[in-house]
Amino acid sequence: MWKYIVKRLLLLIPVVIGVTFLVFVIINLKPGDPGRMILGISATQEAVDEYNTELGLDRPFLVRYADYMSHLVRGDFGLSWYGSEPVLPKILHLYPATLKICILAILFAMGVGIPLGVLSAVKQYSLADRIASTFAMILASVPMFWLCLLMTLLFSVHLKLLPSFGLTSWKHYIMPMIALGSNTLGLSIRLTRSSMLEEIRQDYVRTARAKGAKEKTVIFTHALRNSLIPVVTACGTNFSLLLGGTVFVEAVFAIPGLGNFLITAVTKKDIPVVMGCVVILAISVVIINLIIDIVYAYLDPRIKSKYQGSIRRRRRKAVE
Amino acid sequence: MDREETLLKIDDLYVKYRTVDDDVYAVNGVDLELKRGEAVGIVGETGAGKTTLALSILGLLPKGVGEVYRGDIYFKGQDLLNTQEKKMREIRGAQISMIFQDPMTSLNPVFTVGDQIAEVLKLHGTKQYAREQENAPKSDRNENKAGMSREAIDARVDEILELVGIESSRKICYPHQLSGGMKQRIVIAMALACEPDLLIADEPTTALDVTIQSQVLAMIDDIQKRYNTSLIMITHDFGVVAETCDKVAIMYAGEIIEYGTLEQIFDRSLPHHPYTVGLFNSIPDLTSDKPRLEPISGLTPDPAHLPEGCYFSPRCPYCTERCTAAAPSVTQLEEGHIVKCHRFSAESGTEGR
Repeated sequence: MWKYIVKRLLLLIPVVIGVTFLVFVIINLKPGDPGRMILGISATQEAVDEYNTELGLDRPFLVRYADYMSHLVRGDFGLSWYGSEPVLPKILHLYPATLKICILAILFAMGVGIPLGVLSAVKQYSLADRIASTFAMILASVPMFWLCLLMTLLFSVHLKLLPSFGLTSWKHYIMPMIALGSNTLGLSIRLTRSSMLEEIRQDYVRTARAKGAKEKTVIFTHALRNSLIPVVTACGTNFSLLLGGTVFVEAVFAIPGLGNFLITAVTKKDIPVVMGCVVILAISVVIINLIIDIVYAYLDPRIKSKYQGSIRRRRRKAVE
Repeated sequence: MDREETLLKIDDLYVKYRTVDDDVYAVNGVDLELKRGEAVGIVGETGAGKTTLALSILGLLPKGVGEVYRGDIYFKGQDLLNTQEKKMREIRGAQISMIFQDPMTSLNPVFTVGDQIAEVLKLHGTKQYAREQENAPKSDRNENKAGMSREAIDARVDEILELVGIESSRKICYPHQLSGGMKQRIVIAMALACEPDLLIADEPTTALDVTIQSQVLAMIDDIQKRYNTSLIMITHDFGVVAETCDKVAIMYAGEIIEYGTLEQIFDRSLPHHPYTVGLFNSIPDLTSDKPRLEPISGLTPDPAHLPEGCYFSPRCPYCTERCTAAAPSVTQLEEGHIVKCHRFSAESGTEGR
């Protein structure tokens, strides 16, 4: 297992190289002259050119990329072109807020979605099932920004229960969490329901009943663990999407997070900031996927022994 | 222990499955009596209602779909169909247990086999344990019948694994790490862990290859004799019946159409139901020169649209007008050998095979 984790972490290297290169290409193709954008329209052409040279923009594209990467591997994320602030400390300062909202959103989605899905499956075609299924369908299809606005209208403007912007108390986390998690919630209700329905018709569930186990044990011990396997996969994949999705939520609720920071940097073509954010997000996605795979192996011993098997086989080959 | 004591009595049992289109009549008037320590084989083609019969004994018919709409099942004199779910749970796994058909899917893939066997012990405890509890001084007595200690459970898991021929060190394995034959042994170990009074084996060897089949059968036979367990062996294989059973019931379209001792059913010189004759003709006979088998023509009737009169009439070579008009009643051929066919009814007077 450890060997597998190390192997997966080594995979970070090609992923980061690939992602940074792609983003570097795209951001450089984006129209707009950085020097002109920073100095404003009243600056002379000479001053703009000089500024661009200072930023190193007169050099060829590949040279600039190699230069950026050589600084990156030494942990140097560079300085923002606006305000000359170092990029890395700024990112590390903003990232926790984004991560917290994402984790809350995914916990909300799974914590509410899985029980509702189980209820829906166990009482198939009941009123509760119909309500939960409809609810899931609505949640899965509602656009996130629209939900943000509606919630603000209801909870902040009319009911005056929750604050509509900032991130200072626990109350501030509620609406971003719900808004960000709603799509995943819909998905996890529907997935849990369908996979649970499949599992409770399996022979081993009948075996458990024939042993004289309580219905609760049959559902929650035997069937649930098996039916969680696809749900965990899907929610894990969605977590990566949520990291991107925070952009909307952070914009609507004016949360000082990484998403907001990244969007501002893209519009201003602040290349060091964009690149820094992308690197951090890419690393996060790889690590999240790794965590999902570990949870997955814990849920399903067949997968675990596959990992161990492949490592053992390789070791045997190495001995030979 | 009284060998003549009736353990299970099924009385005129009817089961149907409700589906969106039609009601499916799976069991249509089954009578069956089983004494302690006796082994009865239920033989029939696929779809004859054998598994449905077994599931209705355990009260495990799919909820809202399967329904016993007539008849009674008595186990040790207790009316199982009117027993509360809580009481049924105490009976399932402890007094009546079932070996399911497909060992590949009957075990939960995410738990070790040891834990799966231990689960049934945690729920019910063993008889040995119950006896110890009764003899223990009142102060030491554990009121919770299922309160076996972890060590006692572990010891029993080891013991039962040895009994089914699996090294106890394999209990930490997950089902996918075992072969099909070993999985079936685990399923059997689970069914036997609490020493049930009645064991229902639903085609326990169908999913296994021939060499493992005979091992598993010998094991079931051995265990059945050792614990004086009653056995219902559901199968479509006469070889399995011959190896394990005392009595045989031939089932067709949800009815027992012939019932007798092993000798009575297997003696081909005695008169039989045409279906039984057909079944035996479908088995290759090593001593005869016949180049081809003689299978029964046609298919089992659709249980949603059963034919009028005798259910076997559309496929029966001896079918007469009377067969399509009215269902035959039970005729006793000799002591303990009964058959449901018009050819043997008193009015017809024609004897023969």
